[in-house]
Amino acid sequence: MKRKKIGIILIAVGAVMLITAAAIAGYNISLQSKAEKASDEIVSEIRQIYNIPALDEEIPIKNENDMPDFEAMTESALPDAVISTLEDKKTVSIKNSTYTGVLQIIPLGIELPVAEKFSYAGLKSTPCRYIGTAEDKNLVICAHNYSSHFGGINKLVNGDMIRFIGFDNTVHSYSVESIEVIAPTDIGAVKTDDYALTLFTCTLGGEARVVVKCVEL
Amino acid sequence: MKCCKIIKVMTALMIFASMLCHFSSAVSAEGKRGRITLDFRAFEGLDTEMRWDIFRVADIIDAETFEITEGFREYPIKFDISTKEALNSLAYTLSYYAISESLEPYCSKSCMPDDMLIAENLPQGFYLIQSGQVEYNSFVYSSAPVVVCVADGEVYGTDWQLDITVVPKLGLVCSGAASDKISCVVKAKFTNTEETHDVKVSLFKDGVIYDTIILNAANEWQYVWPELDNKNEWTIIENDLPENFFVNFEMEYLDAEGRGVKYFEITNSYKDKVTTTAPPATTTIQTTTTAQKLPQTGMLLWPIPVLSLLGIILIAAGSLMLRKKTQ
Repeated sequence: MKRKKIGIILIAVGAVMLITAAAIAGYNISLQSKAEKASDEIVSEIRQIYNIPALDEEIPIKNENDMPDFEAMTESALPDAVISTLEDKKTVSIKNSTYTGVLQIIPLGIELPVAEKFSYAGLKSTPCRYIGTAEDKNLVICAHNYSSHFGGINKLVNGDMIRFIGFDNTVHSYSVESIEVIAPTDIGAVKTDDYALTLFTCTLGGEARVVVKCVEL
Repeated sequence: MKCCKIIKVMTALMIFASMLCHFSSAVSAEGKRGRITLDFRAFEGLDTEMRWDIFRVADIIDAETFEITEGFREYPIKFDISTKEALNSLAYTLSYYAISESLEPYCSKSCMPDDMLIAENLPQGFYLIQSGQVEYNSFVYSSAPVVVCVADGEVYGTDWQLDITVVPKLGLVCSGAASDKISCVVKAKFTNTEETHDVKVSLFKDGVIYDTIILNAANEWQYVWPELDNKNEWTIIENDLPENFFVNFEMEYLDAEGRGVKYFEITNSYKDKVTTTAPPATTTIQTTTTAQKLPQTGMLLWPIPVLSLLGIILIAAGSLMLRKKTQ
């Protein structure tokens, strides 16, 4: 009789565990699908305002000679502190959030809006600018490892093309230079001026970070 | 004896090394620049341009010692940030001196209220953020000045942040109808001392001196300027303060619905006690970023295989026990 009772209890506990696992999986799927929907909606709204090139559209890469001549601008001529509005920074506000541009990961066929400021709430919908800017060639973007966001960046290979389109009609084209897995405490690996673009997300288990570093073409 | 000597040398070396570490970290901390984001999108309905000024008001020596910057140094300001109230009062005091003495802001910008302002590349220190009055739809609005600290908290052992977001508070001052007037009431008090002196107060209209009065026991340390134009910005400062005194101002609107009353309180305190401790968190300041770890960007996946595996094992074990029992 006692053996029967224990057997029933074990089955019941096992069933609860399976149900919990299924519930967590369902919750994750719903988060992913919400994020995908939110990102798609924002990109479509941005497309109504700005002329964003299609994912498969080839864009000629700027030659160095096309760049403006900054020689005359000495360091001392630059202001000590800079104050600017978001409008100056060419951002766009949609549904109470502000976005700084659109990221296109060409080999993965992914096109995502990038929020101007990092927040965990924002991260649930779109990737966020963590630090830096495309203009300063030190842009760092983070996103959740949803399959529609940065879940697939570990599959990128050196030489793959990524584009960041700013709202001032600038298209920055990048080439993947390295893919690393780092500890979450290794902030220095991300906060570096050596790469024009850095993308990062959690590994599947969440215990480390996948970092993709790119150089501008 | 020899052992004692070795210990002494080792101790001296360790002290030297720690001093070197402290010095080098202080140098690198100073080198880091900060950022203030002004998020006033809650003012969106105003639909009128606002000018925002940011003043650099104090340098940080260490977590408890600050040095007032050159522009504000000559005024008898008590740099007390020990409580939320003291911090608010400090913001008004610095703001009124900045307005009345036409001090040059560190940076400033005008923009529409549906936007955000971002001041970047700021050296570490304390900053005063203020905006002038704005008139919209026959009403006059004003934003309370705030003092914020931009610093690397890890270096100073505080919760200070290099990247902070400030959400200023906006209040209705009064009706902007020409027939409506505003009154300014000023009251003086003394703390830390039994000794009192005549308090010479100047009232400023949009930064230009308008009137000067004396507060003393005869007028019960209080004065009222009635029927003032409601569209101008009225501020005060205290003049000719005795050497051993600090001054701090506070301000509140007593009747913002109809005929506005701007109530100023002047506090004179004796100079022997100065409190400078880390500022408390305030509701108007929201801090962001600067975590010791990169943000968590992963889904909760690990419990799924663990729970599934355990569940299957338990069900299998349970079934086995039941089957054995049946047999």
